[in-house]
Amino acid sequence: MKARENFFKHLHPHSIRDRTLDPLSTLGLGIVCMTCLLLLAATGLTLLLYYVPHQDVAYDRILHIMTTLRYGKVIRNLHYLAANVLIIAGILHLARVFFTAGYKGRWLNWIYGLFLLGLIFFSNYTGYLLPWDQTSYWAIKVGANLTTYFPGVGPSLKNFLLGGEEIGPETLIRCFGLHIAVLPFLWTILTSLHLWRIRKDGGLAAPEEGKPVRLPSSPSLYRAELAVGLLTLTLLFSLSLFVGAPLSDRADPLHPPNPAKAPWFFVGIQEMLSHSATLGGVVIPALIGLFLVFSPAIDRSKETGGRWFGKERLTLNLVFALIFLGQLFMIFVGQWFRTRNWGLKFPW
Amino acid sequence: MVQGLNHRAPAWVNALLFMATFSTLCLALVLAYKGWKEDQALHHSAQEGGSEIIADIMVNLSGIPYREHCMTCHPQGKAANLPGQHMVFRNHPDIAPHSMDDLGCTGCHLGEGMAGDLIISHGRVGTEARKVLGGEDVQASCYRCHDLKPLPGAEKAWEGFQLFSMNACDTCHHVDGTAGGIYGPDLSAVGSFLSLRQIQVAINDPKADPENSIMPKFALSPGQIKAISYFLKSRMRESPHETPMEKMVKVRKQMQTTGRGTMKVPASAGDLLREKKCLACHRFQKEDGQIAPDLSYMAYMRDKNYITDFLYSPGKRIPGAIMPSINLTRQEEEWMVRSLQNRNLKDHFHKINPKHLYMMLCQRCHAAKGDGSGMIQPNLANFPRAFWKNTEFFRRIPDERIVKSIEKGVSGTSMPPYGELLGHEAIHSLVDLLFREFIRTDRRDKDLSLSLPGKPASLLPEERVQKQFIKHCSECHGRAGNGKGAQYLRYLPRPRDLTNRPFFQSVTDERIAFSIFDGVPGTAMRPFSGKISPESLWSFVFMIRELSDSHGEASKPN
Amino acid sequence: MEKPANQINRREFLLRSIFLSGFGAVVATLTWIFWDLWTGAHRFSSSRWVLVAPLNRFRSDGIVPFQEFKIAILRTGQKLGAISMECTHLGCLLNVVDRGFFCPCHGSDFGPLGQVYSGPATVSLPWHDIMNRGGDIWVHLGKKIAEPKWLML
Repeated sequence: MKARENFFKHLHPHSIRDRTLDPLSTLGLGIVCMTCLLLLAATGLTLLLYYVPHQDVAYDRILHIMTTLRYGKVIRNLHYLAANVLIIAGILHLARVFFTAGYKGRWLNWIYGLFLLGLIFFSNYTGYLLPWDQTSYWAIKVGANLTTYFPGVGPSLKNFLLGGEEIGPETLIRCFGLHIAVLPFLWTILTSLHLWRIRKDGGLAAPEEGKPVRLPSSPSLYRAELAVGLLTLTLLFSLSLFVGAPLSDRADPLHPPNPAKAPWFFVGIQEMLSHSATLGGVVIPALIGLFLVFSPAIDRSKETGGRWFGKERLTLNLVFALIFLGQLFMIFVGQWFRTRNWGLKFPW
Repeated sequence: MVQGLNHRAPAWVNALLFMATFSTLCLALVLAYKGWKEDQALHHSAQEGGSEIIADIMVNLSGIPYREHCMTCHPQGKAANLPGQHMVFRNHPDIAPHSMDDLGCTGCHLGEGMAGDLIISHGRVGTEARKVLGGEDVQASCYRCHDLKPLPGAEKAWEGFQLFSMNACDTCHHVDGTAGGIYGPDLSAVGSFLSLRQIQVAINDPKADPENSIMPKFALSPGQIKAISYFLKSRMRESPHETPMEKMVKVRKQMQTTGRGTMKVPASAGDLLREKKCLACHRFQKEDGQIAPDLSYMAYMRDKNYITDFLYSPGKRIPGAIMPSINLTRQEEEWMVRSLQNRNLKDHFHKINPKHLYMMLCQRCHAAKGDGSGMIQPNLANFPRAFWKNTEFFRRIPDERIVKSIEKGVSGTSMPPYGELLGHEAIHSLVDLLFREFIRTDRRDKDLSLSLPGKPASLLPEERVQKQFIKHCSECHGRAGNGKGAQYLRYLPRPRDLTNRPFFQSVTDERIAFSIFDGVPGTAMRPFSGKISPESLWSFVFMIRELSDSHGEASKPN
Repeated sequence: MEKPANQINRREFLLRSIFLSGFGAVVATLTWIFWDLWTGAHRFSSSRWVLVAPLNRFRSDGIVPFQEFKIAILRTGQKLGAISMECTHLGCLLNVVDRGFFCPCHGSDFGPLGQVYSGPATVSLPWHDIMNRGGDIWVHLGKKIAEPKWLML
């Protein structure tokens, strides 16, 4: 066997099962997430050169980036799109792992994955505020208020996020610091752990077979991963031709828009809260969280992973599907069916 | 079993990678090209050298620095000099004694000075509060810096300021520098967060947003609305030409001059009413604001106490009235009452035929068609009774009640007593007219047979009544019974305000019970006869008495 | 049946070179975009053309300083030039005096066309490119040139 000649090859196993290459086994979603993350890092570092986290000039700086700087608009759009696609891909990746019982024998990695999901939301939330325009200012205000419904830690969490009681210059500095330093630091650690655990746990969770067919990783795995990565880039580049990162008026603390909505990934919680504060804001999110964390323990099936919708896990799969669709529904309603004063309105 | 070391990747992996590389390459090139082109469009090269020119100008307006890029495309303020255009035409008009060097562009024209593209630089994002002002709209910026005095070049804006005052806008809205009221939103900085267009829409269609706005729609032409919008747009948070100290002095000075000062004796009633801006909404003799009731015959309707009480607190006599309290000195009060108590009209009235009477007195609220949506109906707290084809309603009430409503008025509503003005005969002929022309049924055709269930020995306990109220009534009448339930905007007439004390003081328990039991035809109040028990019925009556603080039998209407 | 070894290698070689060139092109394009952005600060900074003043500011002969740009526009005869007002000794901002320019830091003295009269500076003042566009005088702040560039009126 040849020695592992570079770091990239060193990270990968020497050989893989043939099912690893099968697109239907993982849908390549992990690679999609990774690509989004790398693009976010590259575009983010570039934006970092030109942005100033001060409430008087932040908006002007965004304008500068978008109009004066060549390719500034492209980079900002890609950053925005990659961030949102990362949320979607992350959740789909979670769903895939759940439905294929990929967490079997890999509870620690599952927890790392959940942490990463938390990081996704946190990064998106802190980044949302940085343009300091009407949409972001009020979205962060609403988002911070959503946390107060949590008993005990709620108000402290809000104070932590806002850097005080109210949104102000401290909030901007804090979100900026979290977004570019603290969170990327955590990202690096957790992503490394997440990828390392895959090797430690013996590769992707797979059904037991007598004598599985194995292939060398080189070149198949590398090419397959590269292909998925490039396809993700294709998706993001083509989206950027149609969808742009939004920018509205400068933030005006005295005049909230009506309705004031949390960022889309939290608007589901806002919708649930509008029906019932305790149930929607605290109980349901807590239950969902606990379910996700402990499902590998609750799961008593004899699956070893890799099989979609195994019959033994029907109940678990149904519960997950219910949660997934329920939250999706909440996000849909909150985002598109709510108008002034949170009244219901059909968008057509 | 691991296959050979020189293993080839499956064909499909190669194909996929090929496709992915190709597509990514294409799109990367498209993005690079598009970005380049957009950049070229924005930042055309200099004649020599080829580096980009961006007019980066900093103007310092009384300590506030404004950085702008406008002259990149508008050199010297001329029309846009874009690539491909070789002619630069349309010079900036002469704005002496101002100069572009001192003021820059955004000070007058708004827009986003730091943007370099077409849309954002012209302020066309979000609410368009910073949308570029061009042409005659630029005068909306004049009064940001200038004192509120006639100004050549800002004639429409000055007209707007005068209209703002004349139409009693400042009675409800506060603007820095005027004594203004607190009923409406504070407009001191409205120009900072609304565009010119939005301000115009807000004046032209007040109930578009929010739906439950109490701002009336004033009778203003589009030109007048535009003028007012020019004035309001100049009310901005930052006034670039004043230091904070200067601004403070200015506000204080303006407050002093718009204060009361010495009050000269008004020549006639009309004068006082005009000076106090009553005529911005009310009608008095020949002048009409078209928003509020006719005060011409006040002498025959209300006494001195009523008038002074009413002026002090309109909401006490007519709960829900949108008229603001009018604070007058004792002297002004006396003059006001005197001018309203002018009696020299009565002689005509018994001669006028009922049709003309209706047109002169009733139409304003009840409408020419008799369906209750008269000219001033949107501004009244209670919907005027609909006559047109409202047969069932009038069949079920005794004739005396109809006559009494006209004669004595309806307490707690805008219906005044016409007894003294019209006299018995005229009222009866008026009622005949109503039945003949509008209600379309015989005046004597009555169905008063319905009987209420008897009063039970004891009423339901409070919590149960509350629960029932919430279940049956609160959707329309609101949890507090004030008529503002969740669905109240869907109904016209609006659900009755059950806390309306003067109104409920003038009605008997039986009448309240009837309204619940049998419903009120012509309105959304449906009969509850099958749905609630007699205990609930009379418990509701008791609850309404509580809500409106009107226990005891019907007192005489005042 | 085994294919001859060299044919396999050739096909594989072809495939790999296509991939590599395709991928290389992608990397090159993206590198170009990011390179442009990372060196794009000149758009924000002073290495650019700036609008200094409209032409009618310079009606008579003399020196008009523009401290925020660290340049002065001088008019002699029927021509305009833009001279740097940064002292060539250690970069202090010069003062305009009636015989030229004077440095308040260490006392360097310059003539009306930037020539050194007395030290510690030894190099005469450089000039900037100047142009008239649409009635405004623009000056290029980034590049300094040794010989004056005159704009004829």
